[in-house]
Parts: sequence; C-alpha cells; structure tokens
Amino acid sequence: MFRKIILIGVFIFAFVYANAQTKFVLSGSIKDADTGEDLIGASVIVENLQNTGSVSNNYGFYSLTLPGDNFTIRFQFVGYEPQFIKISLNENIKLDVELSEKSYEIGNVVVTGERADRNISSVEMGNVKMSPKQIESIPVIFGERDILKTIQLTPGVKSAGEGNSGFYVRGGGIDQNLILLDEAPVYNASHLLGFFSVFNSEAIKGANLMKGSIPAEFGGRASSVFDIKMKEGNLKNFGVTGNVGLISSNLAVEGPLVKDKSSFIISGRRTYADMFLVFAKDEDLKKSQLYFYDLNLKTNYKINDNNRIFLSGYFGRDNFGFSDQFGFDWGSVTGTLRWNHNFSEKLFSNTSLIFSNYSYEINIQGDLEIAIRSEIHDWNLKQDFTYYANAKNTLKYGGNIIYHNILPGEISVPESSAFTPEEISRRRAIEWAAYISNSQNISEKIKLYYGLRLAFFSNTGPGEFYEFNENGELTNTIEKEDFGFVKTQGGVEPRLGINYILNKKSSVKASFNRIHQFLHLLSNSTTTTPTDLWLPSSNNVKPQISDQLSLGYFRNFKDNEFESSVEIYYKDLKNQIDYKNGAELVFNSTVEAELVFGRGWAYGAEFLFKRNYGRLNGWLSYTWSKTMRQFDEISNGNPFPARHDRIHDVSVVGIFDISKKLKFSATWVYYTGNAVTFPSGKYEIGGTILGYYTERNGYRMPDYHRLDFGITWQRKKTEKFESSWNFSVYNAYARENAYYIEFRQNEENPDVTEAVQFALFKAIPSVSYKFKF
Amino acid sequence: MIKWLIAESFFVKMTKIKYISILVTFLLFSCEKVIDVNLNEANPVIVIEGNLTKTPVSVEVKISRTGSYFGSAPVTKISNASVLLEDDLGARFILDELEKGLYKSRNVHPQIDKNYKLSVEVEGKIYEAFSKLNPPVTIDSLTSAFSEGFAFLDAGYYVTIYFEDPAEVKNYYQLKIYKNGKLKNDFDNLIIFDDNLFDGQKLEIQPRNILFIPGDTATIELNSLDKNAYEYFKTFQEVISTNPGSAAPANPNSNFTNGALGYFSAYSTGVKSIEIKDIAE
Repeated sequence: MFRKIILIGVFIFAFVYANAQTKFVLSGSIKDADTGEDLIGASVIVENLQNTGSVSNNYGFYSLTLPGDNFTIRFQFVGYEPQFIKISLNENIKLDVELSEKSYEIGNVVVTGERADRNISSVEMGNVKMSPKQIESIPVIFGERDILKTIQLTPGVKSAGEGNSGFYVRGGGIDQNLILLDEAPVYNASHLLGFFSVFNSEAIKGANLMKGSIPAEFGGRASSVFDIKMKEGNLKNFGVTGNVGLISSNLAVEGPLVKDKSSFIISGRRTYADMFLVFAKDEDLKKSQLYFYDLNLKTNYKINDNNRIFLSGYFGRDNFGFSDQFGFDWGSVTGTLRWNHNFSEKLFSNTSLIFSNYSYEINIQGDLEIAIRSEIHDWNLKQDFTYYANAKNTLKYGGNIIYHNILPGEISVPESSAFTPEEISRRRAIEWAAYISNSQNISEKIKLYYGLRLAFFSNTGPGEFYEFNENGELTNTIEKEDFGFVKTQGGVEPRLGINYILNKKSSVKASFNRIHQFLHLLSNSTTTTPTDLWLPSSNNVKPQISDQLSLGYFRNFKDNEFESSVEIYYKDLKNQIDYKNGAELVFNSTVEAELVFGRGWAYGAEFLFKRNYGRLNGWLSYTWSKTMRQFDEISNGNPFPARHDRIHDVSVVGIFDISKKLKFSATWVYYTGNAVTFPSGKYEIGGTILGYYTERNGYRMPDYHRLDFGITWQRKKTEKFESSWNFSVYNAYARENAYYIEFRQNEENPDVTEAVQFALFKAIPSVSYKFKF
Repeated sequence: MIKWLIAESFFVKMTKIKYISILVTFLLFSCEKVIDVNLNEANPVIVIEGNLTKTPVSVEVKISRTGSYFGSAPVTKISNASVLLEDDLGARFILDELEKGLYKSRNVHPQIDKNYKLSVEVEGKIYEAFSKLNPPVTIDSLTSAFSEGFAFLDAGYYVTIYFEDPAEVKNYYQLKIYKNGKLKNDFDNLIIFDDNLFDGQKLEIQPRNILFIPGDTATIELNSLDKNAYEYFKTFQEVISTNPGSAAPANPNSNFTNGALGYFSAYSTGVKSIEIKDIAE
C-alpha cells in the first residue's frame, strides 16, 4: 500500500524531471485571418501523437513541448476552417497561425466558438462560453442584444426579474458574481434599473461564465465569475459597424494604426427613449431626461514577438433629470493597461494595472442646493504567469493586490446655505491574493486540475472604525491614521477538478472550490439600483465563504453535433448578510450595526441539451434547485427559502434558417415563482391597516412564462457592405407575468384589503437595422 | 446650529419612486389588476396600542385581535381585558373599558423620568411592556417662509422649527404637525428621528412636505419618545413604506411580551403654534 502512494506522488510531481528525451518547444499565436483578432481557446492538436495538444490562452498564445520529430499540427477553432501544418521539430519553433472563418452555408452553421469536443475533454465544468455572434439572432427585449440576458437562458443562471440583466448563479446572491470587463470588476453592471446591461455587444469579443469549477486565478466573489473580453480592433482593415434601433443606437469604428502591429476600436451607444417625453402632458416631464450612454475604447501595440501592450477602457453613465431642478446620474469607469511578455517559449507573463470606479450623484437645485454623492474605486496590480512545462502540465501562478476606496455617502451644500454638509467616513481596504495551479494530463483518461489560492483582506486607515455591543449600540469609535491596519481576514482556497474521460463521446467530472468574498452589496431591493452600496468586511463583518462541490456527466452525440450534460452541485455559504428590521442602509455610518449574519446552502441539478449546428439549432435547459438561508434573528431562526429560490426553471432556445437570407429564432422561458413574504392576517394600528407576517418567504409568486421570437433578414451582402433587419417580439402571447404583488387597502373602501398584481410588459415589438462596411 | 431638511433619506426615497414611475410610464406598459391569492390563516394574536402622555395628561389603551387578511370585518376589538399601569415606585392604576376595546384611566399623573409598565390580561394570558417617560424638549421658536418649490417639492408656505437637543443623552423624537388643529402626519406619514447626527446641538428643521396657506395656524408637537417606542415606529414606518420589490416585510418590533403586536409608548411633549403670514405683508 505504502509503495503505491509513493508512486502516485512521484507520478504527479516528477513531470519536471521527466525530460529524458531531447524536447523542443512549438509556440506562437493564433489569430483570425480577416481581422487579426486573437482567437481565445483555439486548439492545437498533434495529429501523430495521441492526447497531445494545447489551447490558446486569453491573448491567443499557445506553447507545446514535444520530442524532436516530424509532426502534422492541426490548428482548429470551431466556426473556422482548420489548418494542417507540417513541421520538423529539431529546434524551438515559433509558428503564428491565422484561421479563416468558415463560409456561411445553410446546414453548416456553427454556433459554438470552441473545439467541438472540448466539453468532453477539458476539466472545466459548469462553464458557459458565449460570443456576441452566437447570440446575434436570439430575440431580446427592445431588440437590444445583451449578453447578460442571454446567459440567463442557460442552466443554473436565474434572472433577477422581468427584463432584468441582474442574475443569480447556483443559489448565490446578485453580488456574488464577479463581473469582469477586460479584467476590471464592474460594480454595477446595469443601466436603467437593470433593463439593459453595461455591455454593448458590438464591443465584446466573448464571455465566459464560470459557475462550477473556478480556476485559482479568480477570486473575490462567492458564486461565479463572468469574464468578458472586449474586442481588440481589426489589425488589417478599417471597418464600421452600426445598429439603429427604436430606443438605442450604436456605432463601432475599428482598424489598424500600424498594420499587423497595432489596432484600435471605439464603440459607442446611446439610448433615446426619453425623446418621447416631449409628448408628455406634464410640464415637468417634458423637461425630463432619462438616458444612458456607453463608450468602449481599446488599443494594442505589438512591440515585438515577445512584447505586446493593451490599453482598454469603458465609460458609461445613466442620466436622469426631472424638471430643471433635479439631476441623478450614475455609472462606471474602468481601465486596464496590460503588458504581455514572453520570457521564453514556455513562460508567458501578463502584467495588468486595473482601475475600476462606480459612482452616483444626485443634484437638487431650487431654493436649496444639495448634492449627494457616493462612489467606490479600486486600483489593482496583477501579475500572472503561465508556464507550459511540457505537453502534460501547464502551471499557472501569480498574484494581485487591490486598493479599495469607498465613499458610502456625502451630502454637500453651498457654503452660503446654512445647511450642514455631511460625510460618512470613507472605507479603505487592501485585498491581496497569490495563487498557483497545475493542469495535468495524468493519462489519456484522466485529467486533473489542482490549485491553491491565498486570499486576504485588510481594512486600513485613514478612517473611523466602530465597535458595537450585543444590542448593536456603538461602544467605541477608533480613529485610524493613514495605512493603519485594523483587521486582516481571509484564508486558503483549494480549487480542484478531475475529468475522467469514458470515451470520445462522454466523460465524468467533479470539482471543488472554496472562495472568500470580502465586499458585500447592501441592497434591500430585489434588483440592483443605482444607490446600492458596497460594504467591505471589517472588524464587524466577516468575509462570506463559499464551498461548492459539483459533479457532472457530459455526453456528445453524432460527431459532436449534439451536446448534453447533467450537473449536480451543493454549495455551502457562510457569513451571509441580511438586515435587521427597519435597517437604514443609506447614509448611515454605523450601518454594520444594522446587519445580521447567517448561513446559506443551495443544491440543484442542471440539464442541458444542445444542438451545435444544423438548420435548426439551439438548446434546451432545465434546472431544478433549492436555495435556503438561515439567520437566528429571522423567522425564529428557522431555515427559509432565499428570495431567489426558484425550484423549476426551463429555457428553450431555437434558431432556424428559413433560407440563406432569413433566420427565425424563438425562446420560451418557464419558471416557478420566487419565494416571497405575504401577510397571513391583518390588524390596525393608528388607523392604518397592517399585514400580519408569520414567516419569511413562506409564499410563492405565480409561475412565469414567456415566448419571444425574432426574424433576421439579411439584405445585401457584398465584400464592402452588408446590412440586415431584425424584427422581434418580446412576450409574444402577452402574458401578464406578476412583477410584484402588493397588499393594500381598497381605495374606495379602506375596510377591504386586496392583493394587486403588477405586470410590466405585454407584447413589445421592436425593430433594428444593422450595417457593416 | 445644524439646519436640517426633514430627512436625507426622504430625497433618496423620492428619487427612487419618481424615477421608477417615470420609467414605468415611458418605457414600460405596466398593468395592474386585483388577483386572488390563497393566504394561510394565521392563529389570531393580540394587538395592543398604548399611549401615556404628560401634555395633556392621558392614558389610553386599545386592544384588538388580528383577523383574516381578506376578511371583511375591519378589526375585532377585545372587551373585558384587565389593563393595569404601574410605575417603578409601585403605584398601580386600573384602566376601565370606556367603549369596546378602548381602556382609559383618569387617575394617572405621569411623572417625568419614571418607568411605566403596562400589563394586559386577555383570556388568561398576560402581555407586558415597559416605557420610560423622558423629559420634554421645548421648541424655542417657529417661523414660516415661502418656497417656490423645486424638483419634487411643491410651492407653498412651510414651517421651520428651532430647538436645542439636550447633550449627552440619547433623544428620540416624533414631530406632529397640525394644520388648523388637524393632524397632517398620522401613522401613514410619521416624522421620527434620533439625535445620532446632532447630539447636544441647536437644530432647525424644515418639514417641506407639509405646506400651509396664509391665515392657517400651524401647531407643532415635538414628542420625546423612549427607545423601544422609537424602534417600533421606525420599523412600522419601514413596513408601510416598503416599496414593492424591496426587502421582505416583517412585523414592526413590538415592545410587548408573549407575542402581542403593537406598542406601549410614554412620551412628553413640547408644543408651539404659529400663524402663517403672507410673505407680501
């Protein structure tokens, strides 16, 4: 027995010394032949060797160590024509490859951007990849394509509500999703109360939602990582893409700055729904505004084969003005400066400096002038290394350090006014992490992923820190000077995954993750609102900890034309946050005293059946899940279903090519109601009728279902110009789905109490025109 | 001196409500209808509303019982309860049922800084609550002025209230505003606040949401509550103003034992009146 264990140990860790034979490195980059955009996740397969290959990283870079010999290498990316290249490997070779998109033909439409059997062969599980191209023809509300809304049609992801871009992943809260735009965290990803997301699909290259196995390079949010990458800009030709819709339009310009060396993309979007306000009868409404805009910018420069820099930025703001005297605007700014450097053919490095900011401001003018402001901003320095040790092992290691600075609220008034300004002490903290992981092919059948992440969080001065007694009364205020450390919390996070490949068509996978979350969203609303506030962990607030175990079976049919999977998960959440009765969350310096802490757990099963290509393609997804919470202070300490506990959730997505020029698509969504608190009796206090509540979330909202469809009509398509029309209808059979149910006194007879259901949308048609030249 | 608008959160709330209503009007096509919801029948519990005031001297207790939510009967009042008020020196006063469910006593002489205990016995079960009668805070003066109105606030005459918060003690306030003797902010529009932000300072408060016209008499009561009653009103306010889609509603934090809903509040009052004058004069 003893011997066997030793053997396994040596087997795993001895890979570095196994280079008995002389080996050489094949490395390079994989790009799109038309645009020069890096292809992420493209496969490099050695035809003559079994189970040997690599995948291009986030910058299109690949590296593969092979024994000296003659090989045929297959470069492939689904949706692109594969390339076969013969090489004689008797020295280290650098090979850059450009792949061309497959010509568009009926019956040969490819939806995924991945190697077809990747879902079988990789260790990843609970992973959803999406590109704007893929979601192009899926109908959405107002005709505005939105990656955050389409992702809600996949198993395990639940929408935060009608038309909303907020989402819940596997029983986690809305704030437990780490949403990254070119590595920068986006603290509030919604526009117009969530009806739009901040991600303009014209500027996006692709997105990857990780809800099951989360690699060690990511951390900081308990439930998922949604990694969104911006386009880099065409390295070869100038191009303009535009979209004109009923309530918003966008325009993107891209092209080379120095051919094949440097490119840029600028993409802007603006809504103009408020133009209809001029028809309003109310004078104040006529003078009101309600719009948002987005601007995405990115540029890159290839200094030489071993060095490349990228600069990307996002600016977006919502603006709401009421009459002339009230202004409310909010939005995010992110910026990422990256430097790719190859230390050798085997060692790839990326260094990033990342900035992220979210703020809102309310301005009131009249005989009183008041400005209310709140913001969160971060600076993050991040270093990642990938070491392509050999054909069987890929090591990743690195770390980062983030400086968080949060202004919970500030009220300012002109000096001349006698009103008193107020500022709630800024909250500052340093979050740092270091990680190491290895992806290892143990054998043809078994692949392993094992990693470790250390994550810590320290509150620092300057600022005020508070101590409370058991009743939540302030007992002590500690004033800290610059960089005075107050409390450091965190720990070790194991990340493990295994894939057992049964055969070419099927595999079984398992994974385990632990993640700490140090920033918590304070919100007593079901959807994200502009005034939601992020609260750091502190001497009074422990970090949330999530442990997730998942298991999955993956099976493809008919040469990967069909793909199916079943995944089950169990998630345990510690130090969850809820609020005391009557908690004041805004403008409260001692908001920590208003919180209660408890635990949560969630489990479920997710089924996905997908047809990747064919004249009719799309997917069917079904999720069964339970999400529970328990707080000593709520519902007498009994466990209760979380607000977003939704037991059954079904999505059907179908795309059908009627002809070369006409494409029809439809989605149907059905889910059982969320948990909700309703009164189980009534009584009167001071002439007002109140509901009598006996338990938290003891009731269910009515079931929800909706059908949307869309038609895309391709007009002219030449080398120089192409255009298309898109018509869509949201909620085609006009079901009045309950947005909320209000219990109130009847207006005519206050003795009568009634339940009133509000529905937001009936059928909403929309049309948009897209062009490209 | 600290000058203070009615409450900062007022603006935040207004912003949210107005914003949502505009969205709903112009982007969305919302529809509302009365629906049937199958609600459980909770076991009825006792509801007690008790007030003990110094100016004017009064003690009044209303006792009722919760009913089915969609039931037609407004409220079931409870008769034949034994209601007893005690102070911390052991003086006891029995309250008599003057009308169905309403209990009073004329013998009580409330004294500042005393702790009062209210006991209610219904069908063999006893419910108790404590409340301390805190010293009154006097209103120094009132003025009136005219506002052109802005943003969400209408044009009109409003009152400014001046008073000084006693230092080194926690104070909990309720403002009651009367227009020509009629209360303008009952339970559906409570104005309550504590002195967290201005302990021991001079204050100037402008309730801009209650407006007057010249010739009106504005009477302002500044009530000093005790902590538990304040907690009750604060959580009460939260429940009735809960926006749809916001946090799960819960019962306000009652200060009664044994699961009774409601509150017992002893409070003292500072009061002043002003006649609203035309700015032109």
